[in-house]
Amino acid sequence: MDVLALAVAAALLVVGVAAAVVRHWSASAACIGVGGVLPLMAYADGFDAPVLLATLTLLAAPLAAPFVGWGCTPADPALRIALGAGALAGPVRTLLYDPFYDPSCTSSCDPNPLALAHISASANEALWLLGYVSAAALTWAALRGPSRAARAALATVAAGLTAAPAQAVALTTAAGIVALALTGLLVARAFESRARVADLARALENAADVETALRTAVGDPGITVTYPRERRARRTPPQASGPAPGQVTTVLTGPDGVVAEVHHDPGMSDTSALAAAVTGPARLALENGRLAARVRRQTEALAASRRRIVDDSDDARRHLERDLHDGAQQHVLALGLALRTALDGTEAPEVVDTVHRSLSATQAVLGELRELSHGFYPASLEQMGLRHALDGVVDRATAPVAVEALPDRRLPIEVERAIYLLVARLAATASRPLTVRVSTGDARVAVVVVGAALPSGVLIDVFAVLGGSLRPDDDAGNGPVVRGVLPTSLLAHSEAS
Amino acid sequence: MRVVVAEDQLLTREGIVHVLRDADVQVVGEAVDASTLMSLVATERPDAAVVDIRMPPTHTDEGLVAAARIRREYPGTAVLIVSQHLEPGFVLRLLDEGGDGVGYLLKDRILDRAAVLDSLRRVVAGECVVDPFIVSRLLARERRTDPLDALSEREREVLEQVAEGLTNAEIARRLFITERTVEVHIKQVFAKLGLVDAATTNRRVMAVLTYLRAAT
Repeated sequence: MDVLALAVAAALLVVGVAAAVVRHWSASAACIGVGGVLPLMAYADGFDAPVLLATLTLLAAPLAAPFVGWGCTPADPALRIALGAGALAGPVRTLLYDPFYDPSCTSSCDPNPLALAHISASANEALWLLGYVSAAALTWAALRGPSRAARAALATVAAGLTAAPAQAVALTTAAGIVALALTGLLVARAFESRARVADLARALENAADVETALRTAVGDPGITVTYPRERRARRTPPQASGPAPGQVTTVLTGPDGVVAEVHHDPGMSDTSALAAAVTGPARLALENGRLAARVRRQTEALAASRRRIVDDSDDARRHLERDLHDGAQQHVLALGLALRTALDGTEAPEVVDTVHRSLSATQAVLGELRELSHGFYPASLEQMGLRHALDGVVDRATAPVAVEALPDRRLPIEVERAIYLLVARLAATASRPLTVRVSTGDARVAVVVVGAALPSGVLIDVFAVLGGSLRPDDDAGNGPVVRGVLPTSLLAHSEAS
Repeated sequence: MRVVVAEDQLLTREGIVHVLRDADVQVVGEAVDASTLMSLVATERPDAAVVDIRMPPTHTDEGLVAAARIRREYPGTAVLIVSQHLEPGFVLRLLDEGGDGVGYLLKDRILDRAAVLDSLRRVVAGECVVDPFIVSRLLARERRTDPLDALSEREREVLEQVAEGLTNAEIARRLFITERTVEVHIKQVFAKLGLVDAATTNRRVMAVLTYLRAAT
């Protein structure tokens, strides 16, 4: 028996130390290491071990059981039950075990003044057997990595061995009392931890972000949470927050990979609270936060892209207008003047006729170019505002357009341009009379075009880019209506040109 | 007649100068931007300035700003805006800020030499000239409410001519009525538009402004 106990102890110690070295210090490694001490104690207690070793193991035994429980996981109910039973078993055995009735303990045993009754020798042997079976299970489980079963086995071993030292009754009693005290402490901590998890669940319901809830629940005001971005999203700017100097990062993973990174104080004694917090309701909230962060990033990227598209088309229109004005128009004008000069120098009727026709064609081209460039970008909008620019729209509309209400003051140029584009586009394709009303109020400007059908998607984009909206509506019997809303102060959007 | 021309586009500027020189108008200076134009006007004191609206540096409304300044600081120099833009707003602003002695022609009007010279002559004489095409465009507009509805067909016709900057005599000749009848019509127009207190020349401008405002 002693050889088996020593072998188990040595194996567990080696595995524990190796785990501690490879994975740094962790609760699981501690479990295994301490687990190795326990069979050693069985050896020291049950046989003629050196006095020093026996004393040390007797002192360590009551501390070992609660430590194993605490170091592994206080949240595991199976462990708690086993641990509680083991811690109780010591004092109980002290009350029930009478060495005078133990055949294996004839002359060397101290009397047990606390013994109220006695258990049979076979019951005593059963306890020993249980200890070794548990030790074997522990070895097997530890080799497969720390698991719930391994922890339960550890706890059982601890429980069995806490009850074992019978030869020194006084020590056994002291050990039992210490074990009880530590177990009480453990249970109190477990309750506290459970309360924190409950607090966290409540906080998550109320708090706007998971960060604040975690801070409260774990008691570390410096906690920050970041969500990893997808590997391919390169264009997005670097994340604002990360671990502060002196913080460590706990990476939380889920089935789909990394869920979140929690940056916290390394000295935070209660990492188990963090673990408990993030395994339960916070895990869902973190997952939620990660998804929200991803959606936010994608939304921002989309909005930026939409803004670029609208800005580009705006610039393109302006450039087209400038190009027409500076290029084509003046050349056609020069052509007209040349034709006029040619007309002066000839009397031949057929030439005069041709030149006359060319001149009127030239004039038609000039008129068309003028209308074209106006359509691209009305010159009067920037200098003279919406009212004058809309006049041009009214002049060119395919159906009567009545501008019934316009704000007296100028609006931001982007807003005026959006409204102009809307009215121009609707008026150009109108098949029935339109009524346009633009009104300001409450930091917003509202555009209503009565009689117009659904505007094109580009216009919806133009409005959305400026932080507004554009939608078709129905005006109680007056036919279709297009309603647009824009903010009158554009904080985020300022044009470079 | 002494004239300066302000136009940043080379071909157009040469075209305008060519048209004017052909008609024995003395072009005493050419400018490519508003500041050159202002110094030319200050030194040459021409009878008129032919000015493009869009000039460097911003290519927006430099010409209109310069026109108002010229009319304010050098009343002896009339301004004829030659513009690519069919924008009633620009016309209104020119008349508002420049008062009389200003005109607004579309650029393709340069091909019509007689019209250019006629307009130039009239702004120098202190009249207001608006390109007939702009006026007819305004008249053709379909309106739902029109403050000019009170005017009769004939009165509206007369006002249209006034808006183009014609004198009573010219209107009479055009409409084949006597000058006296024109005067009566104009008085009616003034009364109907509520312009009874102002001086006559001022009232002509006011009537045009009312007309344009109603149209815009």
